[in-house]
This record gives sequence, structure tokens and C-alpha cells, in this order.
Amino acid sequence: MAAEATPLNIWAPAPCDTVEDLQAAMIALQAVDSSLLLAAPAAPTLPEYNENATLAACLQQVQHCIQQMQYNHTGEKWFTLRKDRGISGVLSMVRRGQFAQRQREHMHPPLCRGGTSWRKRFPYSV
Amino acid sequence: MEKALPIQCVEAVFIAVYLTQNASGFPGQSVFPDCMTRLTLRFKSCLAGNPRQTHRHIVLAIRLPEGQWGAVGISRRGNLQDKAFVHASLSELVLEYALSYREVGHVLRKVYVGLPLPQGAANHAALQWRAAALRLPLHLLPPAEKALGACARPAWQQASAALHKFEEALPALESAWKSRGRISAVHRKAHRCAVQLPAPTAAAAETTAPGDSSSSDDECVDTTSSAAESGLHVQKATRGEGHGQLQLTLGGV
Repeated sequence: MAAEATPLNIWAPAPCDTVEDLQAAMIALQAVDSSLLLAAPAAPTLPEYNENATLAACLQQVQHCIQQMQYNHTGEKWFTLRKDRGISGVLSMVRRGQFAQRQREHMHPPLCRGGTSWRKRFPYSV
Repeated sequence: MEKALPIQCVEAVFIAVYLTQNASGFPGQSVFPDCMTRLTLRFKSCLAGNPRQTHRHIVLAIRLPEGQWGAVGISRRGNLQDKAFVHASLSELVLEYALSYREVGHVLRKVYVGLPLPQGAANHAALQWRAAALRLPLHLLPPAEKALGACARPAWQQASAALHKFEEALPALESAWKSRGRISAVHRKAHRCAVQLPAPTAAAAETTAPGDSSSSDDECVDTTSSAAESGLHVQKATRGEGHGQLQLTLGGV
């Protein structure tokens, strides 16, 4: 009786020692990407302030926009913000949306390396 | 703003600053007046049963031109993010957060108040995120399992006085920061105060973890010279006595 394949836990991946492990990890990653549960949330809409609205109402719209972003429960620090920059630096940082780039940089290396801090080299040819 | 990426409190503050900036090319242009004060409120809290385990949080406090205070921000707890713009003073707003921390089983230990953020996009001067530090005693408010009763506001009066004093000094501090890039020693001395609160009751002391008094951030200052200015009962503070004291100090640059 053949042993059942252990499902890959992408949240705590095992080290990828062989090509098969790496392929299995890639397949699991593709499955996650195509999952409906992880569909990208809608981008938040910037508040459109009404000229006749009160300041408190406008600030309520600001709060709504912030809440659309949702709280980051992952414990991972995606963004690198420098608080020592002046107001112009802070504003340009938000405007340019550097956050997305930082997220991509952080996402892939741990998954590809299986969460290990070392690398094992082996010959491979196709 | 092209993607909905999850954020935490400090990113929410940055976004709120961006959305409320009255400058050309920003969403809030000609919507938010320059006289609307925006400053950062940083909180340091600890678990009620474990004072060594601390947590930090930040929101953007805003004062409307009419004088009402409120805040915007994000938190995993609904009562620790935004606050309605109905508070009469900064101290009322901070008290609201202190009570919210109490509801979630935390004790608010320190509040750092920044200087007002400037309007206009072309300003490269560094921001002052820590113009004042208000340190609160561990037992200022009763623990969450006990009824709050009518004792909360009287106990808060001294903290309220310290924050009110800081609020009054905001224009002078802001002016000094803009012109010199630092808060002068004169201002620092004038607004520094410490208040000795009554010792905690035996029941309240039971909730204190042993060895708590050696907290790393219990830096104290000699506040004798500020007695006349503060109008409060001021005593010389020494290291390790921090749990019964309420202090307001102007942060260094």
C-alpha cells in the first residue's frame, strides 16, 4: 500500500532538498495563487470630499479609506518607513506606493528557500 | 493606493497625513484648513497582569478649528483606532484611549505627543514625533474587572492638567521647533512636571507582578525647578519610583 503524500504546508514549509521538493512547492504555490479564497482585495478608493460636507464627515471618509486597507495581522513588517524624513518625504513615500515593491521582495525568498537560512548546492542539468 | 495591502498603525498614520494634507496635488487640497491641528499620539501599554509585556500603538490626533479633538488610525481592536471628534481637549482624548486600553486588559503607561504636522508639501524639515512624554502610574485607573465608578475622572485630573499645559504651549513649541529645529532648554524646563500620586491600594498592588519596578523606561528627571510653573505638587523623582508618579517631560531632539 503506497503511503499517502503529505500535503505541503506553505505556512511552515519544509526545506527543499531535492528537485521534487522544489517542484511540489511550486505546484502548491500555484494552487494558492489560483485559489479563489486568496483573490486580491479591491483597491481602496480615495475619498471624494464633498465641498458642503463638514470636516468631521471628511475625516470619517479618511478613516473609512484606512479601514479598507485592513489590518496586517501577519506579524510581518512589509513596509520600511523612515520617520526621520520631513513631511515631503513622508508624503512622497505614500504617493509613490513603494509598499507593493517591498512586499514582493519579502514574499518570495522564504518560500523558495524553505524558510532555512542555509543553501545546499547540487548539480542539476536538463 | 493601487493595491489593498494590509497595513498597521504607523502606515495608517502616514496615509492619514497624506489624505489630510492641504497642498496642491493632494486629495485634501482646499478641503482641510491650515488651522486644523494634526499631531501624532504614540501609546505604550502593558498587559494588566504582566507589566513587562509592553505594546506600542500610534494614531493621528486631529483638532478641528472649532476645537474638538478626535483621531484616525487603525488597530486590531475597534476601540483603539479612530475616535469621534467630540472631545473638548487633548486630555479628554487621551483619557478615552486610556479607558479603551483598560477595556482590552491593558494599562496605558506612556503617551508621546508629537508637534503639529505642517501643511504644504515642500517642507523638508524633520518631524518631531516626541515633543512630550506623559508617563502614567500603573494604578491610575482601576483594573478592568472592577467597576470604573466615579473615581476615574478625579484620578485623571492631574494628567489632564499636564496635558492641558502642553496643549497651551503647543504654539510656542511649534514656533521654536520651526525656527531652531529643536526645543530649547527653557521650554523643556517650563513644561516638565511630575506629580506624586497616592500609593496604590493593597488590592491594586496584588495585580502587580514582582520585579516590576525595574522597568527599563523608568527614566526620571529632577523636576524641582519646575514647581512654580506647573502649579502642581512636585517632588524630586528618583529611579525606581516610577509607578506612583505621573510625569510630563518634553522629549529631546
